[in-house]
Amino acid sequence: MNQAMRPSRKSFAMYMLPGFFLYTFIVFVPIVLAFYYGFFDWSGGTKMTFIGFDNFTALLKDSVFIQSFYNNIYLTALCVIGQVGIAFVLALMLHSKRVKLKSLHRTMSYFPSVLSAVVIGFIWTMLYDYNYGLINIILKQIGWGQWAQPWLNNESLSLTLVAIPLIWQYIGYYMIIILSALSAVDQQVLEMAEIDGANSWKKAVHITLPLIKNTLAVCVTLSIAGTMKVFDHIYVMTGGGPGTSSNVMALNAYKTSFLTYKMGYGSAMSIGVLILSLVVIVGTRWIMGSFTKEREVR
Amino acid sequence: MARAYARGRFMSGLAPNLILLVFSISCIFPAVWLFYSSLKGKSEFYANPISLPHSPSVDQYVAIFTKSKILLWMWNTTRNSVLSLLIILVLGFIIGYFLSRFRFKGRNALYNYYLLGMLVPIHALMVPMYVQFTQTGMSDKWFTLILPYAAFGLPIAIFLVDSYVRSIPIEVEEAACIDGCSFHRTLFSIVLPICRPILFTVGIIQFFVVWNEFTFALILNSKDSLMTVPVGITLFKGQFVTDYPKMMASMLIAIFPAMILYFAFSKQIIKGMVAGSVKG
Amino acid sequence: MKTNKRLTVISLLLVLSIMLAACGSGNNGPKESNGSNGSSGSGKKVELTFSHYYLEEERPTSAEMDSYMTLVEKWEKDNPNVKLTQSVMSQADYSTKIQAQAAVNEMPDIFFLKGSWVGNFASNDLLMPINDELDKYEFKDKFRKGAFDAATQDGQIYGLPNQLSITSIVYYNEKMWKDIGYDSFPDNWDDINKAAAKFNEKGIAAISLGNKDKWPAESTILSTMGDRFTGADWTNSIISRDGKAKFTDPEFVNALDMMQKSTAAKIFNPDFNVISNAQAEEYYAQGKAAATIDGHWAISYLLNNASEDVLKQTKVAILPPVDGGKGEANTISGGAGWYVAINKNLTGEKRDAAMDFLFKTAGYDFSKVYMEKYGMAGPSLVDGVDMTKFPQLTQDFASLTSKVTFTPIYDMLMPGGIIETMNTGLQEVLNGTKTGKALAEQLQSAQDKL
Repeated sequence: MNQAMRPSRKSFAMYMLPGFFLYTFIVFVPIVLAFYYGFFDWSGGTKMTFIGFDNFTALLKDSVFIQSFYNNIYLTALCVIGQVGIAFVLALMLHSKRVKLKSLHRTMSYFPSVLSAVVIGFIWTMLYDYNYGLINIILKQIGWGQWAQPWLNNESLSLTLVAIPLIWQYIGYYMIIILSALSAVDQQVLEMAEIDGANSWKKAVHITLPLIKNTLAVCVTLSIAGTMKVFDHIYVMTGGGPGTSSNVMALNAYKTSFLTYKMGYGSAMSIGVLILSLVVIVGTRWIMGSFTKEREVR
Repeated sequence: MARAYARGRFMSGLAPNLILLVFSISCIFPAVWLFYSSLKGKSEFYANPISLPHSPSVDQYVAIFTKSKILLWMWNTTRNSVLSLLIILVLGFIIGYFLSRFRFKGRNALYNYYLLGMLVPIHALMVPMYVQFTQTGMSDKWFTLILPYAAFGLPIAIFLVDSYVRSIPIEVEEAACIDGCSFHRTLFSIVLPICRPILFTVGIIQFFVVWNEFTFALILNSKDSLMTVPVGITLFKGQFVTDYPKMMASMLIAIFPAMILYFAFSKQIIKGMVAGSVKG
Repeated sequence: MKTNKRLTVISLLLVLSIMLAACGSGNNGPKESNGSNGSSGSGKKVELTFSHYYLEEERPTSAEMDSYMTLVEKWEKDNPNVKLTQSVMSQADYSTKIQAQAAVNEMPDIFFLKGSWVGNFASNDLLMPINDELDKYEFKDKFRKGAFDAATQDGQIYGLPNQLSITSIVYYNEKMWKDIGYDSFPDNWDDINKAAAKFNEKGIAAISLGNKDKWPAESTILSTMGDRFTGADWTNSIISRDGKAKFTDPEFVNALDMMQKSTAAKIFNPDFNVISNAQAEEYYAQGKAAATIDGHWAISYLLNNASEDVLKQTKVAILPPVDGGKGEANTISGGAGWYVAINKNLTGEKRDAAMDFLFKTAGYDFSKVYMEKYGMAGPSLVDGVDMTKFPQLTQDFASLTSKVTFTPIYDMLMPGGIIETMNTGLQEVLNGTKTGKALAEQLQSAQDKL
């Protein structure tokens, strides 16, 4: 960049500092505080006992926390595939010339993203309900009544079942992002592929996918970031249950602080959540490769 | 052969239309269901949760509007949303632009520092945040909630603005510079208008986040007069109450202003989203 | 055209928000300005904050809340020199918020205190002892035996009970049980299991349970079931952590196994782990279950919500004894579990006002109003009330509970960490995915770490 276009040092700082201070004070300071509290045996009050790294080492051996981490990984895998994958397919369909009512579909499918987790959780809890839920009602209507069950009480399914509303809610969000990338792709490339006899699936995988892979990578990153810290949907729908089958890290840390009053340990746990989320994100981005180059500034 | 081909063509036209239609309906139906169910009586709802109401009644709404301070809650929520959005947009635009255009020592570290905010599990950090807010005397003030809403909205704003600005050719600013435009003027009268679509996107995403936010609003504020809609409506859902239609009415009231806004501006919102979305 | 439409919407929204602003400040004006006027005007107005979870919404269906709030309102009227600012949240939200406040030693002046929090709060020096005032209190002898157990730490008493929790009552529909050949609720578990099979054939549940929020199975069933097996000495030993009793003792494991076996025999509604306590009450009130095991709060609920048919047929009973149990048969988990407490940091006239508030709202008067208005037993004994004016269900409840001994309610007295583990694990035990033994071991290792 041309040096003349650069603001003076002073105005550079004037521009950057307000945001930096706000962000540091509200977001970063609590993280530092949590890290600090992590070194104490503290049940929430004036008495704090310094215990060194005990909380952090206990975290590594805490089977409930480790399970909640695995649950997060599973949930993240489902959500990335579900949110970004389905959004990709739907965006391709919506992009095709044969589809009518395009703007209606766009408006409708983004709508769930604007609803609160409480509303989403309530709606889906009703869908899964044993007596009044749509799913069981339909199963009974089509003669598959023996499959009807109190869905969220199924410990091997509960995590998948809470993932579905999460996926459903954000498909529209990612679909819109992918659509915008698709509209930037040269139409003729896609049309030529069609004439050559490539079917839609091949076309999508071999031509479209590579062209918008950067956008997809962004979607994947956003989706992972959102799912690693997921809390509200699960809190509303199952509270982590039955047992710990749908427990996730953020919920576990919250419960440790507020239900078992181990605020020192809960703080250490929140740092653990942050670090593990960071590892997963960085790891994924590393796998997705292409990213690193993009990040550099011209 | 020809018939199979024709059928294939037909399928390839029908299937996507059908799938999209089903998906779109699934997205909007819950809100519709919420609405007409809230007009039912409790026993009618239990008798058949999906059917339309026989004799719709707005009693639930009347009760909420007359018995609660819903208007005050809405005012508080609106104020929090508007002001925090303003801060997010201004600061997000500036920081996003600077990080995107200028190379300086620690630029990447700073970028990642801001992105870290997207990973913070706020529910797990409520204790330190509460400590910080009370010790600095910042809880229970009219601006209390605006601060976290703005700060936690910054990362996504910076992320989106940064990648958007990178798609703008640098020649735009160079031309302005040659014309003798000062840096400040270039920033606000040339770059800002170009960034309008992405700022619109950020605004939309964040507006709904802030409008629906619950945890900060519960923990950081204790004052009745500063209560927000999401916290307020929980007062209608007592521990021992199973009146679904009533709960649904309160939920609908909570999302109603946002819904109106969304559908009134849906075209612009989606256009903004598409135009402003991340370009990779 | 388009622009016009947009303009219309924008201006509409603007007008709306201005109206909202106007209404909002209008609505909120009196209360706010009152406060500032009060403090600046008379100069000496005492200000007290009071946090609790009695939502106005629940008042019509909660005798307990109505009785208590009646006294609060009376106290406010009698003490115009005090400005009482109430902060009300749902019980779950309240429990979260109070923990955050405890973390920074910023407790409200007056607040509801759960028995299981006392140890933690007291050791962090957040609670004001009330021993001296209690000793002078004229109705001190009227409090039930054990009413202060959960609020006592090292001889200091930290609150006055404002409710008497009786958590484990069987409410059953007499006619439904007669229809399948039982004159009353069975006095042994075999019969319950057999009856369950018959009810299930009819498509109804024998006993409705709503354990989504994890506490009901433990608080309303296990607290009493456990006592049937272990006896109260065991529970008291666990609570006092003297090391004599262990969760891994066979008696307690048997209690967990019994819960598992009964659930496997389908005595509960299939969705017992995914509906709330209130929904389970609803099932019973609608005749979808022949019985429900629930706390005293269900009385108010049933009186207000059950159909006339169900209400007329509703009788109360206690959980049946178990084979080889060490506990007595005639007990129910019950006792004072919630208290009204005062912030340790209060001094001078604030302290005096708060103390006065405590004894006027949560003392004997509360039990008196609760009994005279609703026929329900509070933490103090109230004599000479003519019970016949109350609904039959209330009378039955009163005569049942007057004849039983109360045993400790687990979640009121055991520490939060233990209860969280127990409640979570119990969901799995009921589902059959965790053995009673495994849960008992988990609990014991948590107990050892305390």
